[in-house]
Amino acid sequence: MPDIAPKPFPSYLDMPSRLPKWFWHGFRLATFAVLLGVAWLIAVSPETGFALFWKVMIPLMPLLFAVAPGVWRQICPMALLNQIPRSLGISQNRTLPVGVKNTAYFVSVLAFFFLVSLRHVYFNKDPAALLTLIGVALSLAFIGGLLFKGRSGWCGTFCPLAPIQKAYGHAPIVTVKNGYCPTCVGCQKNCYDFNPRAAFLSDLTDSDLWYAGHKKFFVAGLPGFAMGFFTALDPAETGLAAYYLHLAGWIVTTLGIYMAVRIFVRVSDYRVAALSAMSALVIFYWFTSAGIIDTISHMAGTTAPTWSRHIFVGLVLLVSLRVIRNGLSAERDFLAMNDKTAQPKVAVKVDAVRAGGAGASDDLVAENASGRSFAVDPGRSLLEGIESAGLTQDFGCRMGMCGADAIAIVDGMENLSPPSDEELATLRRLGLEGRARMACVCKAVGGAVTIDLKRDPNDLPEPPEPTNLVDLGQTTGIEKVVIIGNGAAGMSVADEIRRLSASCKIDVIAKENQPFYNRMGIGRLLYGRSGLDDIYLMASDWGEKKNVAVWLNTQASRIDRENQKVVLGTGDVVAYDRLIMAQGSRAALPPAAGMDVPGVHVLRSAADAQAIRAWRQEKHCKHAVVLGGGVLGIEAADALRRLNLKTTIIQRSDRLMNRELDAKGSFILRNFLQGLGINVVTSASVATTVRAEGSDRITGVELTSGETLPADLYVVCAGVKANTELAVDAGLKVNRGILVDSAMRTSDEHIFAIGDVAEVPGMVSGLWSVATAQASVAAAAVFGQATEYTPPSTLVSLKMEGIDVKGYGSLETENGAEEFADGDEAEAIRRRLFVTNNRITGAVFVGPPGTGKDVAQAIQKKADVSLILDRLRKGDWAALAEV
Amino acid sequence: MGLFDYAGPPAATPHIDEITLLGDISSDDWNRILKLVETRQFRAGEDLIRVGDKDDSFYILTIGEVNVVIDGADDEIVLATIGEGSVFGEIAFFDGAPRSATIRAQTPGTAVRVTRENFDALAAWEPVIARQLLFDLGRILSMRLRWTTGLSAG
Ligand SMILES: Cc1cc2nc3c(=O)[nH]c(=O)nc-3n(C[C@H](O)[C@H](O)[C@H](O)COP(=O)(O)OP(=O)(O)OC[C@H]3O[C@@H](n4cnc5c(N)ncnc54)[C@H](O)[C@@H]3O)c2cc1C
Ligand code: SF4
Ligand code: FES
Repeated sequence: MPDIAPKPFPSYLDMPSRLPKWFWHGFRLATFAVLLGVAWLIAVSPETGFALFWKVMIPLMPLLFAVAPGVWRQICPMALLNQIPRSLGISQNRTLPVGVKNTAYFVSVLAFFFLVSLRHVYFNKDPAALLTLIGVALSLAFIGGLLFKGRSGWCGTFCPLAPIQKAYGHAPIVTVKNGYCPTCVGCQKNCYDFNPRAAFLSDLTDSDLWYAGHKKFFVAGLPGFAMGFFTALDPAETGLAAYYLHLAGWIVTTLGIYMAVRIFVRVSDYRVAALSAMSALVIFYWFTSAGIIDTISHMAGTTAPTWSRHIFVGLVLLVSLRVIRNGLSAERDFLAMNDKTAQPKVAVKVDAVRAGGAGASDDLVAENASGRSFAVDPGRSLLEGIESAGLTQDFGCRMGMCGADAIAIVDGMENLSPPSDEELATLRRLGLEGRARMACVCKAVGGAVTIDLKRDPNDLPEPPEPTNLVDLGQTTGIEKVVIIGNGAAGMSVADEIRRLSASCKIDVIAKENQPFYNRMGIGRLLYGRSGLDDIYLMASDWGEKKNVAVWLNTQASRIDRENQKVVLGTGDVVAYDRLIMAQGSRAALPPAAGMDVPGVHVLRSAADAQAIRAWRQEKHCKHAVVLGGGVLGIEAADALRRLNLKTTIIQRSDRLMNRELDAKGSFILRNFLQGLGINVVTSASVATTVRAEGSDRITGVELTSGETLPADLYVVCAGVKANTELAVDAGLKVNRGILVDSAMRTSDEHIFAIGDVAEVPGMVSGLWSVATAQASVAAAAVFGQATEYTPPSTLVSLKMEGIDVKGYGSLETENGAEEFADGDEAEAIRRRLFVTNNRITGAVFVGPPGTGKDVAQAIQKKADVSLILDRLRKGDWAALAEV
Repeated sequence: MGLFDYAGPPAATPHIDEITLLGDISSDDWNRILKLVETRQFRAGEDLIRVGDKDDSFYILTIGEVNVVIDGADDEIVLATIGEGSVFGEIAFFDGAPRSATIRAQTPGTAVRVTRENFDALAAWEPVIARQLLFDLGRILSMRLRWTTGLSAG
């Protein structure tokens, strides 16, 4: 157990027992015996008895209450009788009704005032009356103990001495452990025996103002009562009415003073109450000290000097100051404890967390728009840092190739890792070299960096343009270029052509009604709140600035090759010297039946994504089925899950991402998805959609196995089909895509095709990086410059939070590749690497975030891994970071 | 902890003044968790949470001190100070309701931020730890609830 700071308000359970039990037993019996003795004395020799009782014993009690009230509560004869039934086990242990609990104090206060006032009338002079009083009090205490549990039958409730104990002893100088309650039965509210230091504080601050008010009334009236009592004339002479009027006048006076102080001075009830109680104590001894000293010295047979009385009062003054000081510190503790700051502590093993990387670092990235700053852990990208800081930034490929996350670097460019070739190419394409970085691939390498997520990097001062630019359009005589499609391929080529020729007329024909956006990010339109704004990739005035005419919401409907014209759906005709076809691909629909049922969707364009989001809301969908367990299908399923749909993926193959992953990698991925609540069905295909009778839309899908899954939304992600119709109609050579040579030229020398729609011998792509790489080649080829297309690395990665999945190349060793892999004991991670001639030719990396980061970079760099082969053989994957 | 919890003898009432979030997991486990959650560093004066923001994450403060503040017309009122090793923001993590106060860094520091999305991933990778985390958060919530109701009930 760690050291625990002493509790500010120990309950009696936490207090040490300083004296043994037998001592207290003896002390109690002795006190009881003394009481009986005095009673006897009162009976036989009233004069001595009264003197002893009223001049010594009773007057000394307030002092005891102020210094160590717990002593009295241990030895009080009434308490002794009250607790006898409890210790004998004969108490009925009833619970005080709540109403009585709350009023008991008031009753005891009235009893106190009343009984004390009767001293002048009876008890001071009439032995029989006093003895009756003692007898009745003892009996009532005993009866209370017989009936009620704990100390609630007398000590903490009705006992007329209780209020005075709480008032004088509100902050005891010495606390004494309650010895009567072996176990606490919770018999009363704010029990003074349970927590002596806190009881009065809790009483005064009780939310029940009526209850708290009784306590205030008592302490406020107490000094007045004392004054009244000691200044009263004999009621036998003045008459009872005058006597009580006198007492009441005094009580009302100090009550008034108390209220006035509360009203006019900014001070807590507790402080005024403490002051009031202590002034009552001083008043009390002011009047009684002479009597006490005289009586004692008289009994001792001497006479005390008069100054001893002043010493005595001085002593009382010191005691009360001490109590007030104690009270102030108790109040401080009490407030601190009830202050929201002193909440119960929740601890985290901070060291372990810090060791894991959540430690401090001095080099922060400051983000201007939000005013936030954050550190980027070594090895993490700026984009990851931005996301960790709770900021949002759109992204696409997360490989530095798409340009979705170009961020403005306002300051500290030199403190970022140098850009890779890919990133540089992207930056050049966007015209942002030197002004922005692709956040997904750049790292902070030390020193301060300032970025601005809300600032369009294009607005940053442009680095001086190279002045010796030749306008290729003018030199080659190519004046009109038409581009079909404003996707990654079309817009990249438009931008590159403008770079090569300032004069050439460029028309981009775009079917969609959206300026160029990040197609890879449309999944986020399903569940995100920000709509399209975040996914646009170019500033809205890009076309104007670059003098490129973008025809939005316009289809190319026919190509007139003979006259080199494109006929638009609107009837307009646009002439070209060179035509670039970049109309991409569309989602392929499988031949299964029932694809025309409302509720069948695809996810290829922003409009598709918006339609799904709208459908989900309009039809209050619950179940979604995604056809296809490839990257697109899984990403779509994740988006649907975030749209709070119970989602099932149906995959024809026996595993997810079968083209990129091996069995184990797929297995880990599947487990992860299922952990998120995404249902995965493999080796299955859909026979037909189901529309229940009477329904106007889809209600399920039926598998070829006969099983039917409920679905009110069915999203088909089963591959893409190139948009080749225009080319076919124009008589161009078309296979699966439009056939092109290594310069992206189609079978017509004036026409090029790039991106998803193009087929370089042997392959149609379907990747962003391919589209932009081909755009560069085509732009140069348009002006007759010889360039040769080399495919970029086609690393496939799953863009999903919480898991890293990367697949690349061929997972075979037949062609002489060496394989590196984790053993089977690694359960939640799959790492396999294939190396041929010191280059990575294949890889599967599946695991928690970060698993495939190093390998992805090595692949993109086309790194030579010869130097780390030995380390890889030993299973040292970290070596990949060093190539 | 109330001052008058008359709950029986000490043995029967272990006072739980402190809850250790994920107290029994190894530092290896922490490393794995940290891969799935976000680490956020901040400067003094920066807002970690802004009143009214809707985001469903909770924070573990690993370094530094932050204040719970309410911005007045021309000054800020500090309601409380949160120290190292504390967990905050857990209510919005559960109910997603807008933040009720601003958390402003008093010193530079670091906090681990766990969103619902992070938690889902954690649950998928490390179901046992995730369950424990949820349970501990529940205990924190209930403890804080008891504590606040304890205050008003006396
Ligand atoms: C959800 C999703 C996630 C993806 N994730 C990745 C990823 O992680 N990594 C990756 O590399 N790739 C990814 N891709 C693929 C990537 O987006 C494409 O490879 C890329 O967009 C291809 O660009 P493109 O310009 O060739 O075609 P597109 O982007 O399809 O653009 C073609 C445009 O031409 C328009 N068009 C078609 N016909 C006509 C016509 N007759 N007249 C006028 N306009 C026409 C279309 O409407 C479209 O706007 C993803 C795709 C989707 C849908
Ligand atoms: S509340 Fe508990 S400590 Fe107080 S008198 Fe009753 S039983 Fe004893
Ligand atoms: S996400 Fe960074 S360039 Fe694609």
